Amino acid sequence: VIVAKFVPGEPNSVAIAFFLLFVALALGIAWRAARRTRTTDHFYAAGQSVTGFQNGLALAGDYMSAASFLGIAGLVALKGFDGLIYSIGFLVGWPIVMFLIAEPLRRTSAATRSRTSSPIGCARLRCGSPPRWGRSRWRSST
Amino acid sequence: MVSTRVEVSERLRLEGRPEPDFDDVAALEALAAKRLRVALALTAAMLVVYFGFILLIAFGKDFLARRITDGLSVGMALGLVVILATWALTWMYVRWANRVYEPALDELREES
Repeated sequence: VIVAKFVPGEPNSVAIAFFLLFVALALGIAWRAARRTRTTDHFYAAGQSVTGFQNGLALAGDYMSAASFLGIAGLVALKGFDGLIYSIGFLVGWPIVMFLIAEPLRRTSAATRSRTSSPIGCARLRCGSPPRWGRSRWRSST
Repeated sequence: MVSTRVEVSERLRLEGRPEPDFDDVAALEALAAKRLRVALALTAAMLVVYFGFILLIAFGKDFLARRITDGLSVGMALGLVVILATWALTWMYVRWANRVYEPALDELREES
């Protein structure tokens, strides 16, 4: 077993190899996804084909970054409880976003293939753009 | 901006859209108001938990520094409780949406 010896300030071949591996993986995934992109709809909202679970993974990947792990661990080590709030404050925002924004966003049908594009918002003329009544039975029944 | 029914009818007529059944619209608005109440209640609960923890960190460091067992302080345990609270509140909202909100919405859609 070859164990790379870590020397501060010197290039670490194992770290560089892993870095390149992750860059290649990320580029490969992006290339595969880009091949499936055909229209502007695909480009902006992934053809509205992203499932809730996939979107959750994407959000988690965004926020569980090296900055989160290394930075917050360092903050807690240095500042104690004053650093701990950062590890918790990030998380607290997500449910609030879901409670207040997720449903109105879904009602616009912008991000999902919504079945709930109801006239609620539009009957009150809160919609800036022409309301989308399509895809639901509100139109087909008239 | 809340519009009167006359204004809504007028605007829909100008846009060449069919006029909705206003009883259904009223039911939908009631449902939307109910959803907003649930969302605001859960948001308030989340904020109480979060700012309670922040205020404890600001003013109750002695309390947080107490040890429950060796290596586990009250502060760390409460931090875990805050994280679990976010999961619990999210779960509550999702369950409510799936069991109450969506079926009610589907029912209204069937009626129209």
